[in-house]
Amino acid sequence: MTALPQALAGLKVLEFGGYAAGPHIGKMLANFGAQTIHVESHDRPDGFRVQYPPFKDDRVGYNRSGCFAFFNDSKYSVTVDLKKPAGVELARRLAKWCDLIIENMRPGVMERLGLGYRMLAAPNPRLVMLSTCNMGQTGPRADQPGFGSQLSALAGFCGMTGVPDGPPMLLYGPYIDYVASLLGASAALAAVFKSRRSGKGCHIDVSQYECGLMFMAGALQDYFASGRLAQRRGNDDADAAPHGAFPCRDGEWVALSCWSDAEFAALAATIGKSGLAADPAFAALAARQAHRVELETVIAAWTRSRTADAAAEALQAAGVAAYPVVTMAGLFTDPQLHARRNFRVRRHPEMGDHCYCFPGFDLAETPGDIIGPAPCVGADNDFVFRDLVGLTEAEYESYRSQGVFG
Amino acid sequence: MKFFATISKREFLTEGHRREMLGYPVSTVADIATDPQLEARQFFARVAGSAETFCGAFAILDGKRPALRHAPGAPVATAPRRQRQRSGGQP
Repeated sequence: MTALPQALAGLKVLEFGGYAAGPHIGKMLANFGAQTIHVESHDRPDGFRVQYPPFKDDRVGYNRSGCFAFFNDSKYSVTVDLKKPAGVELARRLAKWCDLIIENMRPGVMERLGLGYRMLAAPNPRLVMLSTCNMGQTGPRADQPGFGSQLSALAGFCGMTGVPDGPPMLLYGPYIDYVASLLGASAALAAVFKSRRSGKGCHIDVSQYECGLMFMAGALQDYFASGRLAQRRGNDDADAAPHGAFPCRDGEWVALSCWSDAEFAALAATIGKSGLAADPAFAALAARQAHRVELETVIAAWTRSRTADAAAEALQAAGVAAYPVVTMAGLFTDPQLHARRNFRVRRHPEMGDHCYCFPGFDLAETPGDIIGPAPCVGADNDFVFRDLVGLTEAEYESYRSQGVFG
Repeated sequence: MKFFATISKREFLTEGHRREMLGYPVSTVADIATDPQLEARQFFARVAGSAETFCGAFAILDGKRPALRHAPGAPVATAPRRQRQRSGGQP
């Protein structure tokens, strides 16, 4: 918990949905002080709570999920049964209280629940709602369900990943969700900013597919201009050679690239082969690409006798782009991440001390923080509904007796 | 594998959608450039002063996709200072 003022203090955010694409937006806002409430129910908890490992001590439980924790620190959790009319009524009261709603249900679900933007904005015209889903709210395939891991294939990422003669490669994790959630956060903040100035909110329609295409913009523009179809080429790059990952001592790897002849000369000097820079077989980019196998053999002979850290350090000192290929364990011992407090431990009621990930950006005057651990399901019903929304004791008891907090 | 060899990517996409299946084809940029979903949402855009096609704005606001404002490298039009002050509120 930070004692310093936070940039988004006073911003009230409500989340409907689950997994990564919606909750990641709310997490980033919560890290900078937004009061963010994650709405779920015991019958329909966030899918990350129960569907994906890792779980604390490998035991599945609503409050034991590493994935859920990763995307939901610093938030409150309430449980509202939206299948009950009184639950919908309570959700509308929450919507009247808040400034921003983030939802990543399939298109049409919020409307069917009676929680569509127009309905919620009528009593709260400053309300901003961000809807994020695979395809967007409109179009012939708007209602297609899906996850980011496969959507990355539709958006062209997988077709560009892998060796030319091999199959396309699926990416690690829901890569496209991160593209869409970072863009979504900026859109949500811009809309809140505008709402505060104008008094009028808006509905933001984010298609994760379209957000992912921002990552493919260069290849798409090239296709429109020339008809050229970008192809996967393993670790090769049209503008850099060498460009790849090389084996180091003890099974480690280092990734490196040379984007100019001068950088290659620096690499050659670093590996003790200065003569390569003047050798017609390696001096220019095209020659290096034509003699890729010979070149990579020479470089690998040098990297194999070093740790990945030592190789990267020597190359970086010479001005060559190089990083060790880091494992999960390596991330937790990286001095750079440690210095920037990327991982922050917070005590969770069931998982105990747990490492949470801070966003990759911070504000100098109003720094963000991991305000608290990920919430247990429904842990904040009392606080949110009594203290924030202002239900009377009789109202709270009425909702409770109807099973609304299910 | 044999079954998938009998249908095109576009057929898989269309029928997968109709059957509410989880799964997408591996697209090329040509597939993306001609995707009816993107066409319906008018995702690709052109701007004055350029013959090129660009990815449009990444979000639709109140049912409208904001237009791209200028070609890469073209000067950005800004509102006159007095007008900006009048229309502004809290910073």
